Amino acid sequence: MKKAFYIALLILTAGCARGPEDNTLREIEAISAMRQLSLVEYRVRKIVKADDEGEWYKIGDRKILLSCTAYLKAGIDLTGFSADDVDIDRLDGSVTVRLPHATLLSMDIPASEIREEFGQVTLLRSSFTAEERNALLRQGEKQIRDSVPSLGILEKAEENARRFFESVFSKMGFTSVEVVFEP
Amino acid sequence: MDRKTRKITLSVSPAVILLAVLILCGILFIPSRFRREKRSLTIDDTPVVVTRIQSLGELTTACFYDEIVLTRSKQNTLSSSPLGSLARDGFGKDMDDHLVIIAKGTVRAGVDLMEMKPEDIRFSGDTVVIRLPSPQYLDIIVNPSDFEVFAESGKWSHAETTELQDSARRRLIMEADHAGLKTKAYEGAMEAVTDLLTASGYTYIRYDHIPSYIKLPRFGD
Repeated sequence: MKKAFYIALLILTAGCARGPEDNTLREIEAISAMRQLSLVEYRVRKIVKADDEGEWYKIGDRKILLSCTAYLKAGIDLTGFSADDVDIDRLDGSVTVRLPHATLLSMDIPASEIREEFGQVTLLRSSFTAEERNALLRQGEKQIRDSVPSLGILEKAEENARRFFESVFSKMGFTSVEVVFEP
Repeated sequence: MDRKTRKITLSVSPAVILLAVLILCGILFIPSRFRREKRSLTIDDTPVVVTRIQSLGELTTACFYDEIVLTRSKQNTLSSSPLGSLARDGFGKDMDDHLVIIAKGTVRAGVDLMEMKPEDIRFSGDTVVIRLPSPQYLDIIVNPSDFEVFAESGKWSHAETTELQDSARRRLIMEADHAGLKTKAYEGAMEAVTDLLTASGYTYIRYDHIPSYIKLPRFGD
């Protein structure tokens, strides 16, 4: 009986042992190639405000109001773009270009453009730490990212993409340029 | 044996029931704020205001990623006092305030096609001669979600923190320079433009006035 117990314990602990995959580190290439055409930039402002009443055992509250500027760039990811996406008709001088829909390509919130507009901490509370301020800004960053579909930036990027490719192919001598966005 | 077991069960049962009733009362009647765990601070929902819209024509062709450790120390009232000196000199204990931040940054590089003038691209039959603009860093991105406060002791103002965070951008540029990101970006831009022109029916694509600092591989290398 005892023997069976030890065997069972051995099997269980062996099952819990870390596999070799736990020790492998995630590897990231320092430089990676990409092909993205940024066609529009939106500069946006966002107020990040929080009122911390604290836990039940904390007396007093603290408030903070930060403002930040974000630079959003949208455009076309041309990574999968190939000759198959361009249909040329030499006879009537027309060309059809198929492009993927516009996406948000980058978002930049420079630290130098984040300002603490107001801060109030009552006597018995500690002031906001760097970590807490950053956690609040992280939430602000997420709210900005979530607002992208309603900002109209993607529509503007597709409008600019159409204009950009029409201009490029017109210079090549094509008389009719059609830009089609496909999912 | 059966009777003994039943007796124990009967004598224990009221105590168990009483305990269960007390736990239930505790759960139901203790104010919710006494029970809750330490909650995370959440921000209010405020609008995102668009202050500028600018058309671009930036071809991003290379991206550099790096993680940088940013450290800053300063003296505080205790560390600058005789007690602090004693701790430092006598016991090797550092009493200063420290802020250590790990920044995960990205540098995106490529060419700004808006800088191209009409004379920078010449078509002749099935040949195109192009002068691409110089490669540049188009975006240096270190957002709040890219910062991790690893260690923090003492009081650090917003200005002190942002100054330290902002230094990550300068460090990233230096690292990107060192990694030869601009050369990679120029090579990528040449490939992208060549592919587009080849797809459009051109056979010969030649690049003019390649910046001197771009060390492109020669044929046969």
